[in-house]
Amino acid sequence: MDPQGLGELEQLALLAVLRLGDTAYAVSVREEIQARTGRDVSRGAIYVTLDRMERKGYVRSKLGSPTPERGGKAKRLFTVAAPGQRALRAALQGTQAMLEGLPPELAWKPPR
Amino acid sequence: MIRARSIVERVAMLALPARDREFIAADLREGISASGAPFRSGRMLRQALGIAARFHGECYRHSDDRLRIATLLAGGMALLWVVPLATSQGSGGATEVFVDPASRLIVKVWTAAHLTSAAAAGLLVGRVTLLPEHAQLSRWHIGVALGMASMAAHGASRGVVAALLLLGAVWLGSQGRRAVESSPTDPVT
Repeated sequence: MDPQGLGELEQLALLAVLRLGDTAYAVSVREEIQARTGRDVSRGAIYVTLDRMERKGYVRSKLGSPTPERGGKAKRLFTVAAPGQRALRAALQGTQAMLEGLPPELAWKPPR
Repeated sequence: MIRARSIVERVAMLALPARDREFIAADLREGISASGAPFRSGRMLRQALGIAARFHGECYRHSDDRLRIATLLAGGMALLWVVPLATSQGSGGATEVFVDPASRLIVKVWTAAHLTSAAAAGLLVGRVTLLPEHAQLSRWHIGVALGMASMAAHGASRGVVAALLLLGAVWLGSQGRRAVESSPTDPVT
């Protein structure tokens, strides 16, 4: 596992890949992050982050089916690998531990 | 129109790592098509360059990588400086000593220090297996930096030729390194 832990965008991208399941590729990951967090992440940041996490063994990629709107080219679909799940769990546990005991006005509430 | 579009796409994608080019080009094409806006070469180019900038920046993310890149840059600079010193020793008037044209040409090329040093530095930068996979693009940054140094040292006209030769040598060195890296290891050893 990366001794420096996961970066914020890496966490968001891993969560997006988990949420999207079989349809996770760079464009859908970016849209998922944008839709859920309201953050406009640049395309380049998503590609570089997914690329980096694949090198670390956190995600795996495979070719999808080619479609006409993509000029007959396949998508590069991503899935979260076991080391990625472990790293994500550790990162989220760390965040949770840091949140504990904070004043109620800082407590996180899920969006409705 | 289709041909022009294809050329723009190819040019834009050259700045990206080779293994990601096809997927990113298709993603961008899909995005433009889904937005319903007419295809604009400039838009595609802008998006591709924005993505490429991120990939190029990734080379410098870790301090270890920055150190390796600086080491390679220093090595290239050293060659640009040392080779002219070496070729200037004892080669004065050598072209007059040799009578046959082939020998004269070899001596002439050897004594064109700005070219030999550029070729040597370019081959070093392209060939050395010092950089991790995600920092490979920095070889081109180093090549451009050395090319500019060569131009500063030798003047615009001579320097441009040296800079182009240097970048060509980076490419050649990279091809050689990739060939070695991708060749299967000897099963006996």
